[in-house]
Amino acid sequence: MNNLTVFDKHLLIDIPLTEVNEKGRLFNDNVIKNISDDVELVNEKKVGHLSTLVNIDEYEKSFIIPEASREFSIVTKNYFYNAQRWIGHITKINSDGTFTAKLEDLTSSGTDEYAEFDNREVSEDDIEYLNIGNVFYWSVGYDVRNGQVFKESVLKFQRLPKLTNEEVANKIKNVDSAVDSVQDLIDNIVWD
Amino acid sequence: MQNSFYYSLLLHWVILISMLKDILQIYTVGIVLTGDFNPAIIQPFWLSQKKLIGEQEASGANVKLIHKDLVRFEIDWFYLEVTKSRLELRTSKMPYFEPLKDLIIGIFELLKETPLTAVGINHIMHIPIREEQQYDKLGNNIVALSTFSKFMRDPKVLELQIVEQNRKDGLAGSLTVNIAPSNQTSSKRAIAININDHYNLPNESHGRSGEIINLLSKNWSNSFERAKEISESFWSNFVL
Repeated sequence: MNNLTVFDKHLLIDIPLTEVNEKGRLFNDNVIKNISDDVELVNEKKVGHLSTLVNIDEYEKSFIIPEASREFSIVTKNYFYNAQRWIGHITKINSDGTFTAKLEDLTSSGTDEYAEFDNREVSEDDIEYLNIGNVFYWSVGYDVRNGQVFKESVLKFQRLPKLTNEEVANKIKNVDSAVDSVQDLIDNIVWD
Repeated sequence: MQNSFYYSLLLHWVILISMLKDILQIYTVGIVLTGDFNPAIIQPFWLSQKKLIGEQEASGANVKLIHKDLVRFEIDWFYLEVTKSRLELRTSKMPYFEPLKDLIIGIFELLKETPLTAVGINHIMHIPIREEQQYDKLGNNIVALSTFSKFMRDPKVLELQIVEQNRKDGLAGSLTVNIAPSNQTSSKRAIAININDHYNLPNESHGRSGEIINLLSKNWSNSFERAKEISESFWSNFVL
């Protein structure tokens, strides 16, 4: 049975040493070793030969280990629930600081709707995506942050890498090829 | 008379289903990919530079660790962890389920040469159970605990795991449903229904031609539908 893509209950560095989890412990040790190999030697002292102490070299070393938080827990303090969700396609940018979009309900099936949104609902990071044809996700529901509940509307634009002209041409070529295959199938149908 | 009986039964069923949606408190969705990764590439500012997330989002990232073997950070709406063989991206914020998928597609559109071997879409639903009696009876509803009463004092079900090793849809992979108590909700009594929808690389594929990302993209909506059906069926059959 596969469990490669299942969430681990205890992840990596956070596995307590007393946990019986051989795979996790081996990985944990390996990562710690790699980190230790990269640490910076901060302080080194040597007791010199003029000392009246017995001639034993003594080294004092301090290491700075990169901060790997052990506080991470899978306990979820911040979540958003009971959301109604839509995918929106911008159909019009209005002159009064609003835009119109066609909405497809993701939560329950039904007919598409049209709605008007205020540009101020778009976050600064997403302003450049405010163009006709662009896609956004709109959700209304309850956002819980450290136990406090906020009733919220969230609007987030879809971000996918832009294809190059060559990639677009390849995709069109694949579609053309698929259409040709379908046409061949249709042509080869023998009707009784 | 018969029609009104069936109508009231249908109405009762509709009410039951809508109740789970209203009671569901935390819904975490995560995408786990296995493959051959270079963790150090996938950092907040790289994602921002490639316009996969916003600049302000990247600036606000809570970076736990950046190392050649392990990268781990959180942004307001997602948590990311990458090792050399595993990438996990997760959110508990419902408005960001679709953007989570877009982010994975975006990353591997840019890192086309990364060999990927499997993808898992994980749905973890934490549901509080208000009635103590309902919670106590749940274990007995799932498993005939009386069988174990002969050998154990007051046996309880700690965890239930059911697996489909040959997927119903014919794709390579498996479906695993795990039900266990949850300590994530505000209630003292809650369960977590954890569904792992796992897809393997198709036979004779090498994982460098976007096969896994295509599987993710094509099966995303179906995965949610399936998770909804499983959780609602469990809820109506065993909890109510």
